[in-house]
Amino acid sequence: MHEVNVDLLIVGAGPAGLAAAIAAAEAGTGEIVLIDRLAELGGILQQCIHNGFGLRFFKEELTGPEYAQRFMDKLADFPQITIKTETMVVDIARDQRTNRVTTVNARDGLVIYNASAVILAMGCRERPRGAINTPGTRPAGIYTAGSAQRLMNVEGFLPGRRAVILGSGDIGLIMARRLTLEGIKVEAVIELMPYSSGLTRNIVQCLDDFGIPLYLGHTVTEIIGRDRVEGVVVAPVDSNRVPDLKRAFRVDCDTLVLSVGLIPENELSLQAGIELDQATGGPTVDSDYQTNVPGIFACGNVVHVHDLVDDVTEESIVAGRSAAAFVRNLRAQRTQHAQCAQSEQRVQREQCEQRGGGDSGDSGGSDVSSIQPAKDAFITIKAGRNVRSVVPQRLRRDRPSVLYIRVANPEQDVVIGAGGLRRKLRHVTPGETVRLTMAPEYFPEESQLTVTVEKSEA
Amino acid sequence: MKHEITCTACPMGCRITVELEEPEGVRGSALSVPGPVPGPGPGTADASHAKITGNSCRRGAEYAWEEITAPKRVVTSVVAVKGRSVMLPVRTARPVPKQSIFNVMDAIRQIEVVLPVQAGQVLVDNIAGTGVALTASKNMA
Amino acid sequence: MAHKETDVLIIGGGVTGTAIARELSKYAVSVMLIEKEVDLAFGTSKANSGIVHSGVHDRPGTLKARLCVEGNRLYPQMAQELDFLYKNNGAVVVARQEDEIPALKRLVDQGRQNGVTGVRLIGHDDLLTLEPHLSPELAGAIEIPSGGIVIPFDLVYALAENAVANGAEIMLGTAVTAITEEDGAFTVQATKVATVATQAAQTASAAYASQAVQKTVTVRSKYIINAAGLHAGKVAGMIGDDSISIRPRKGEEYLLDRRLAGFVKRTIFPLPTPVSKGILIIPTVEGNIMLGPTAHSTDSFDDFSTTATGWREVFDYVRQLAPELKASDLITSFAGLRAASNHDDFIIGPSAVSPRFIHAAGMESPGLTAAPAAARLICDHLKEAGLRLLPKSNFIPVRKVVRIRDLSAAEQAQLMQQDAAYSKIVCRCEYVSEGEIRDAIRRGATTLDGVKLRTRSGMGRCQGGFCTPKIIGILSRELGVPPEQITKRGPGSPLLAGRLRSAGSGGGAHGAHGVSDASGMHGEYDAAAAEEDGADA
Repeated sequence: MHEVNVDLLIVGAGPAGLAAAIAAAEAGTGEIVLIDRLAELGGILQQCIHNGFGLRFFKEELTGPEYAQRFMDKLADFPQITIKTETMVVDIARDQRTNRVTTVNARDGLVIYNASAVILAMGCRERPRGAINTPGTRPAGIYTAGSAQRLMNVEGFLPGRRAVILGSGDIGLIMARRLTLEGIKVEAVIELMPYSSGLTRNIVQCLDDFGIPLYLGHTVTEIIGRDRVEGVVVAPVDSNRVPDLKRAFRVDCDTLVLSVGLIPENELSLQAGIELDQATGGPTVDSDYQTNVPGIFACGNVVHVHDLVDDVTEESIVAGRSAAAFVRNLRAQRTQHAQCAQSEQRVQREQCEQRGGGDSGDSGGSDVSSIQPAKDAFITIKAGRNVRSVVPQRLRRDRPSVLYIRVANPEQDVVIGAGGLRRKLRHVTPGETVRLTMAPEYFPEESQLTVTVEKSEA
Repeated sequence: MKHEITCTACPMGCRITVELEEPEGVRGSALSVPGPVPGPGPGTADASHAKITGNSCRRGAEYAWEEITAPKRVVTSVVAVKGRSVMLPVRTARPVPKQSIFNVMDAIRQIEVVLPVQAGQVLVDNIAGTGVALTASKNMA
Repeated sequence: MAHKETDVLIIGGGVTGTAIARELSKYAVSVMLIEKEVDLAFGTSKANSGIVHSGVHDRPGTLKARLCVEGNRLYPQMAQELDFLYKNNGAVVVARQEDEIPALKRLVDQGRQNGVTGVRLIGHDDLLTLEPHLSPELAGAIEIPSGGIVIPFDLVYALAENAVANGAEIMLGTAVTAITEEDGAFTVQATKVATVATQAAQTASAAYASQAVQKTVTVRSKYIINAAGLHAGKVAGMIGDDSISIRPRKGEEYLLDRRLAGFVKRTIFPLPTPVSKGILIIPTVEGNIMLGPTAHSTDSFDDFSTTATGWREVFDYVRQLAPELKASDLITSFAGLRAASNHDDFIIGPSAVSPRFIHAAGMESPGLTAAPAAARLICDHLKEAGLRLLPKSNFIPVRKVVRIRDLSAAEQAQLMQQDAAYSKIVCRCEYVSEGEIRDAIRRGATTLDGVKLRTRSGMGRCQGGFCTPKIIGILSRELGVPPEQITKRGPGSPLLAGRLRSAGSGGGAHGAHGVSDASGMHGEYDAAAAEEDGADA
């Protein structure tokens, strides 16, 4: 079995991994390995053929593949980035000095990378039918929206001819349009909540444009069809989201597309001993996008589900730069330590180590915790009223930070409070992340900060 | 005749009302019938004869007027690739008139691209007579 | 019209039929098994709870009791020989309150009468020491060390493959329609439904591509084994035997995430009801927790739906046994139909109408446990009916299958070096390689479900979201049919409705160098090309 030492290993070459890799390379990191399980870079963007990406980052409205191509083109500038496609990361184990990352692919077989730093950028998986426990049969023709999207946009197949879509988040809405444009009859989009979590623009351009009915406050209560979907039963739900079967009705279709939630894909993170935030489903991170394990960073949808890829890019650049700094510091410490170890006199050696050459007693080892800031250098973020989650969950006091806040319920005319910062907003909704830049002058004295959403007085 | 639309120019999503003088019996909602709403004068749509309310900014008024009179959309899809079985994602370089969306799709279905292509490369100059180019969204070799 | 001849024809390819096929393949007789679904185990067996029962639940003196205990004892060696997933994890039957303790004692007695060893009554404290996640409200239990768990379809394929390796023939997608008897042999008419639609089967654009193509098959056999499960009554009726009537009993099962592995070690039973062993907490061999099954009679022979009331029934019940269980850990559910008969025991023996037509029917619980012992009993009946069973000297008792997830890193690395297909991971959630999927297809899978049941791909957290397009591609390539003809489980269940574009090609390897197709769905996977371009940009 092959072992390779690298400075930085990045798991996932979607928008997060791509931006992080480039940022790390630009910041001077030496050997970077960028890994993806697909044959192509770009991750989910390759199947998101619709436009709407990059308005903030590039000041242009790009399609998913166009956005990805911008970053893929930039990779050519950085020969120190080694790309491994069709490669699966099987395990990440942390030992004192390094991260042992086990990978497997057809060309190299099983390879273990010893990486000084790791960036997790694995993205999300979709919630399947089994997890929402829709009663009924198990016929062919049930697809999660992302699966259907891939089948159509990359592989070039029609998933069916007559569809019902469950879930009116952006992915469900986008697929409503996509299916319609390809001649598939979209009978209805069904949404459990009394509001859609998708962007208004998508309601207009994906549903209204084509006269596709949207049933808010409804759900699919049964799937019918022995071998292939033949129809679904739809019913309105009450305020507790319990279906009222007396008002149920059947919709004939041969395809059910499920857009019922994204789950950050953190199996590897758990294997690596990384702490997850229940509210986001992803690792807790600090303003550097470092997880609770020094040297392991995370960015993109694996940390929290994003609405805008521009936000993914922004935070991944931070992660990339932070990982680069980490690697730099680690190298410096190791060099220092190696130099100290060479001192012939014990007194000189001890003095050298005291100056920051790493832990004594561990020959050649580097204690990464010694290059981490002290605990009181951080503020822990708590989610207050009407806040479902905030990322990052820990802020470094010595630098500004962008907070990504997801509210729990839609509200009008609110004030977001974070430390000394107040921001008035006309309208907040769970489907649209609030992005708040916080400068250190707004940080509280205390080590904890609660982010709240309150009704505006005025 | 009152037309109500939700503006999508920015996340605020203002509900904008556009009031036009129109002959009776004409179905005007741009949202259910593709095509511009006939304006008050003979054959022309003139914003100065309309009352636009509910917008918070000028962009909203412009968006609303365009949405009512000449709605446009970017069309994105995929085309077949000669010698390959994966699809090539494509887009109209600019928005096209909303009522031409399905004509554009018909034209897209006829295309078979020959590789290599670059992102941004023009595949068809004037797709379905819209005057807008169809371009590739990614490099494919 | 195809015409075949055999000594013994087994009708039904579930656990009963395949166990009999394997047993018979030890002898110098020709054996054929005929199954109406496009793959084995596609009937009741794939929905089985997978429990290897001890025999405490069965009434002494019945075939159920005798064959359950005998079968239970055969499992460890069989699992070793046939390499199917089995664990002797033990079981407990719990008393929810004090007044249930006498019933527990009766089970102990019954077990003792049936020859079950090691069963003992344990108190509340011991129970919670053994199984700390069970409710502290439980009064006590009996511990049954001989209980086991198995993956039922895995067992079926293991039995079938070994039978085939020893000369048995299996006909899939073939449904028996009529049986006549003359000159000391049966003539069986059957209709073969195409397992993979042929090009000729493509019909008008309005319909799906995978239309069934039918063909008649005739088999002449001296002996027939009726192991037709839900349809055993119907098959018996074909020779004029009306003694068997099947009334299906539906059971729903709910599967929880593998993160709960170890939540319980033993299979947890409540006290049995008159119709079933109750709603259980079952740790599966692969580490999931399964809850269920329900037990409700139905007139339908093909209602495999799960229901909201079924879920409530299961979940509310199991929370009495283990209050920590959470609905949010649910990953999937399924339902199956038990072949409950009008007899109160297994129906194993010759038909009154013809001594060479032997029933192996009504094999509801403990049918799976009893299967290997029932197979031996069937062989006895065949001997009594006149069949000479001479043991084969060249019988191969062993069957092995590759499961990379069970190999050490070093073993995996070695295997991957020998065959690069094992290093292409297709199912990320369950760690299943392309090599294993290819092997499964070569071992008989022709559908997505067939691949899934043999390899586990698609059974994990994402429930096939990632791997399904890839598996369709591999099936397409291996079977030599276009992807749009691949089905979930046979004709009537096509996965795709056609191609997006009629222009543009499939095939044509010459264009396929450079980036290999995203998932190889189109059959262009070329090992050499993948090696060339699979790594660095």
